[in-house]
Amino acid sequence: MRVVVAEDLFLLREGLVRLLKARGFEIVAATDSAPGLLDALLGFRPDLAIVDIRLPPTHTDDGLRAALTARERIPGLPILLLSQYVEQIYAQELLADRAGGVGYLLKHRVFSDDQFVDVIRTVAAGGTVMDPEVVTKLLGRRSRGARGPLSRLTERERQVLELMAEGRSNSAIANRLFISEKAVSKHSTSIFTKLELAPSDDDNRRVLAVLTYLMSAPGEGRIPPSQ
Amino acid sequence: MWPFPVDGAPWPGGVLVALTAVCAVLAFRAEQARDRPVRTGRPAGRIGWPVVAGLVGTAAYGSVPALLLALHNTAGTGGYIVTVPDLQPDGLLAAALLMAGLLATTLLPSARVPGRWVLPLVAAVTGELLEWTYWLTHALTRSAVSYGLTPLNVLVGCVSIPVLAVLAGAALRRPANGRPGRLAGADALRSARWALLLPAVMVMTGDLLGLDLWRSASPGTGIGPAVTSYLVGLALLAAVVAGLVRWPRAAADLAALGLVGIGAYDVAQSGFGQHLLEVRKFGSPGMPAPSLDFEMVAHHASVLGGIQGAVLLALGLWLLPRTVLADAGRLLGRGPDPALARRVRELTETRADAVSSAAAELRRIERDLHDGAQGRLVTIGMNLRVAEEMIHSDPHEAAALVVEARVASAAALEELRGLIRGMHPPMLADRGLGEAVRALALDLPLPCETEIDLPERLAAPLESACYFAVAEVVTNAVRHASAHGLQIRMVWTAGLLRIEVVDDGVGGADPARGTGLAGVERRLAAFDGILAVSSPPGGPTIVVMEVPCA
Repeated sequence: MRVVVAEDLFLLREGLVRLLKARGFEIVAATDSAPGLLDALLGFRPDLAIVDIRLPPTHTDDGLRAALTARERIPGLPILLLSQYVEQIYAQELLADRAGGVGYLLKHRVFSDDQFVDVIRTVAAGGTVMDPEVVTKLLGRRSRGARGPLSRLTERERQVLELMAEGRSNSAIANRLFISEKAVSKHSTSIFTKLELAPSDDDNRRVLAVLTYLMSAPGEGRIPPSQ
Repeated sequence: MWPFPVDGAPWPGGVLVALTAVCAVLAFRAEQARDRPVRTGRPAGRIGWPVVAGLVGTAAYGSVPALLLALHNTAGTGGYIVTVPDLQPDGLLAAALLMAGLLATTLLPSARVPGRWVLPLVAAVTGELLEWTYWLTHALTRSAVSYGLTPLNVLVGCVSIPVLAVLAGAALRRPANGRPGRLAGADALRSARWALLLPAVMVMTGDLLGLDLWRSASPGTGIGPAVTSYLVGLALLAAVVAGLVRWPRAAADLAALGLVGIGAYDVAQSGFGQHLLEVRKFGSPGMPAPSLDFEMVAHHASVLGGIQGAVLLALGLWLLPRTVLADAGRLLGRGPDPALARRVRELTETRADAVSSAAAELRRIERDLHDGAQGRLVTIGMNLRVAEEMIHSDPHEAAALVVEARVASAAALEELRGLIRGMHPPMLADRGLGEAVRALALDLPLPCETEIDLPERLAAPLESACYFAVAEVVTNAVRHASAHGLQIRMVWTAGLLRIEVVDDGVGGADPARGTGLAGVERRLAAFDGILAVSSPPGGPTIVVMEVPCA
């Protein structure tokens, strides 16, 4: 698999390259700036780009912007964002085109390299992966309306929903919760019914549906008249 | 110049003098209370347009009877009028203005702009008192016809009160950008407040000089000249009000000098009161001339004139060192400019605050790093060192130690992220104030509506101060207000950033108690920003922050 890495910290970039090479990935370019990233993405059209959000020249969100620009030109180009922090706004922007093939992880998730490699493969295959912290924030936001559809979920269904939103497959969820895959698919049917979402067997589309649902949160709505 | 009834019982004149004295005492007390050190939040001397609106309302109100009299005098019935020429008995307007001015200065607490209905109410009540005193006086002394007391006139007089109060209230509507107006910018001094007495001083002076502009036209004047002089009088009054808004300090000086002059004149005149009573006939009266105990009435008139003169003189003398002498000292280079002195004091305070809060912040970061990340890095280093030694002898144990080190490094990162967020949120650095506040709103455990209209980027220190101010206010709302929802509005117009945070919680937030809001106020003060809180028990709480930024 051909991968582009964009990270401005030398040690971290070298570490990523070493880790990925050891796992059999081909690194076609490793760059330390946003313009370099854009050139590499458009020039090499890799199978996946691993991008630090904060890159030179302005050291703000240049990495994200470059990646989004590239995705406009090459629809569906798989992008995995790495960052020291997660922001719902960035997650929204990343998911805005609904095309899948995106991931957003905290940098230190790289430490568990098996999981990290799983994520890379999922994103490269057009899947969607969100850091558990993003999902926690989204769920917190979605459920703060108190009487929304989320409150109708059972505790177990909530756990399943959380793992689904992180982008895990049925089997991964089953492993994680120590239940059978069949039980997972039963829960997921129930969740989709309760949230009034169209059911889907396709893992990727399922993740996108769940994330879209969570992001269309009532947070933008009016304040309910409470007094 | 008071409308005391020289043709009968003198008590209403006494009531007016007493009322003025009470107002003056209230004003003195307010002045005393203001001499305590003022927080930097809002310039203490700010005189709002609302006050001026109330004043104009009172003035217009006070002039209604004058107009009625003018109209009546030209109606041709005729009657008698009893005057004390040097103590001008028709000065209803002057009395109304003086009282409204004193009350208005009393009601100008430094901390907040008076409520929308306070001043029209004061104006209406003052006017109502005067109105009834005036009519009652003349009804009691049975000279009603000669003074135009017809049911229609009384009705018009009474109806005009609520109408003028409503007009004055409407004038208090906040301007489009939501900023309360103020006299001559933020630098209006505390003493400039006394400029509000100038309209009264002008009318009193006019009366003394024999200008018939603000009192009833002389008996027999035609309706044209009567109305014209009424309108000219109002126009002059409006000009004076506009002038005092523009040059409040000079207006305050003039008012003080005028009060001294008029007071002294009245006191001096009261000694000659006995000889000045005069009965004038106008038209063809249908009744006999009023029979008066001239001796007694003139005596009352001179005593009251003396008292009112003494009150005015005392007020003027008390104001002199606060206005004229202070300004003269400044002009002669003997005293510091109060505006500059206050600015220096403000800057000294806010600089000290800024320096000490920066130092406190550094101490907090140092402590957090020391207790958190630094400690964990030491542990990681030790673990790795032991693992290094054991890697051949006990690879299993070594691997476990390495895993432990990895977990510890993740925890250290987590702590560092929290710390960085507390120092300068990444979103603020990446996208600026607007997006950072939107991100903050998204992360809240409550529904939060945002309405943000900002230019691309503001100065970095300002962005940071405003962000943390909003974060603190929002945190307060979430923690203490039991709110169900929040609204954050941020608008930048004409060099002023206005931030509003509204919650529907229980209210009762007070910047004076607790350190949260006071901290925000101090933080904003370093940028000449201000914080205003409205939080009645039961809510809602509205926190408004305004920061100038070009």
